Amino acid sequence: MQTKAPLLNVQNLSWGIANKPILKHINVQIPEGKFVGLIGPNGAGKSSLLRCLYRFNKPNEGVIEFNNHDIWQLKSDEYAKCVAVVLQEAPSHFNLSLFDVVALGLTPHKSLFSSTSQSEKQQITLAIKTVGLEQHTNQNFESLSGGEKQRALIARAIVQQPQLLIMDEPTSHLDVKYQIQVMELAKSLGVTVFASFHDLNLAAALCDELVVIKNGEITHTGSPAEVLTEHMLDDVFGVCAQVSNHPQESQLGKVTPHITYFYGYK
Amino acid sequence: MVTNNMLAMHVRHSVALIICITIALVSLFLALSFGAADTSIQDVFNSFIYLNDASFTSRIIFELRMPRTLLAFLAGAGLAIAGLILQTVTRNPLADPYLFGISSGASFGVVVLMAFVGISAGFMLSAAALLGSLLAMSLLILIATRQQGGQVESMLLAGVALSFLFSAFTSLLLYWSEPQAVAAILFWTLGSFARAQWATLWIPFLVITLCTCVMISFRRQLNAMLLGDESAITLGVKVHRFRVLMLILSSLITAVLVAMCGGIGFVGLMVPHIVRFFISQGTVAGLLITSLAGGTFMVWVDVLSRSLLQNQELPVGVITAAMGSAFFLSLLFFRKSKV
Repeated sequence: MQTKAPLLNVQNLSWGIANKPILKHINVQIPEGKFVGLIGPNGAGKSSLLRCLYRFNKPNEGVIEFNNHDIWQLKSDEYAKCVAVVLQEAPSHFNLSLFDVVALGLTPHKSLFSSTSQSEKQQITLAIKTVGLEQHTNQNFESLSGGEKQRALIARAIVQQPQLLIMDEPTSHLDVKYQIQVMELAKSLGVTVFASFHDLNLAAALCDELVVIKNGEITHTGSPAEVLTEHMLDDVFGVCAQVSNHPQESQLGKVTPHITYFYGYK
Repeated sequence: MVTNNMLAMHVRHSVALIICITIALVSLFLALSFGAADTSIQDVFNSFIYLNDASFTSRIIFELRMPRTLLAFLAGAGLAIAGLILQTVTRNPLADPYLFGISSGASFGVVVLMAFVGISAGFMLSAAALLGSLLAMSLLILIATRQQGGQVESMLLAGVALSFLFSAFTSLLLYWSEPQAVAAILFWTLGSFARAQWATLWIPFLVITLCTCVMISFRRQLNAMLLGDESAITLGVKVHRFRVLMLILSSLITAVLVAMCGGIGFVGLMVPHIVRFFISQGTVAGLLITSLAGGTFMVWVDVLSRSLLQNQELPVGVITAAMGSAFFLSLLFFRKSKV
């Protein structure tokens, strides 16, 4: 039986700055339709890896393939039509409305002199409605709260109509309610997602697969239940923790790890 | 609800654009009645109705005031657009066409011509200013294209350094020049539309129109730059190349205007900010309103420069700086934070 090729295939990727290796021989496959989480301690190389995937960093070695095409061989707008990115909160001191920011999702799809059609305006409108920000459509983007800004950037990604959504710690400075809201929203879109997480319990609850990175190397991959073990948490994150089943998921007959941290251990 | 919001925004932008076009046209018309010679609005109106009228008043209006007023409008519109481009691609609200050394380059070109060739008026002066500006622009672009990381910082620092470098050379040459040349260069540096003529008006018109069209066509990429280089790359923008292209556009506008009108500071910095207080500049209407506001502002500055003192013309740059900063400060002081 022929196995379906992954949507994103990273082979032997290495990247560094001024002879200092940051990522070392990374191999990662992101299957189509899956929600894959990237976890690891601070400075492990999560953002560096994601930056290579959205072509901000050019790898020193290795190949990144999207749908079997080397991403560096694709035109920048062609790649942007397939891959959308939600970064950590983006500051803008200029007067752009929420509508303007969401409309940016059309950028790779539009030729230079073309205007925004009525159907595209409806598409933007629908995306704003999907993320629940319809009452803020004309509001200045800068005046939105952190959670609203992230939802606006997800709306922009919806308009971009990607096959893959990359998210670099999109909830890192949001409170718990917005962390759950933003990530559940991303999951509900039905596209393949590769997102880095700080909150391991949130990653466990939402991801189909997890990739663990430490010191620029991939150490574990698999389902949350396979990856999130007490040994791994000690080895990679240096914390003492107990891993049990999440009570809500147990009732539904699913296995979702839930981490309880212990304090005072070194 | 979203559709209603969208409609309201569209209507607001369209209404604002129509108001700005109307104000610009009325200003252009009214400005023709101001000047040293006594002419009324009725005279201006009559000149337009009787186009073949060869009267003295009609000749003043068509041959002197109209090219001058149109040049003032083009200069204001162009500088506002150049300022908006630079503020956007550098994400620096203090970026201004004159911050990048282009004006200093023009002054240097003029002083070189005066000091070594002895010419202190005419078309050659504008040509020298253009060459000086292009020299500064080329040096800046050379530095910007060599940088991949930290391109914005390099551009800003290189611009400031070039500005000081050309100013130093200019000061040195002026130090050795005749006092008459010093006075001429000082007046030229402060800006004037007195050299406006029909024969050369097509140059700024062409450059500004083309650059504005290119800017409108790239409006999505410009907006994308506002959320940062990383974000722009993810939307398919080749940020380094795009930034250099935009730098070339704004430099070209500035170089042509500096060559024709001298140094008129503050407009490129201030007008985009003032417009930003009232309307989003992310749309075609927002961009056009910025250029119309710049043009209209400059038309009235020119009127003031011609009519504030009797039989004497005030330098335009002095008025733009004084009026602009006062208006800007009062806006900052009185306006509450926008929600």
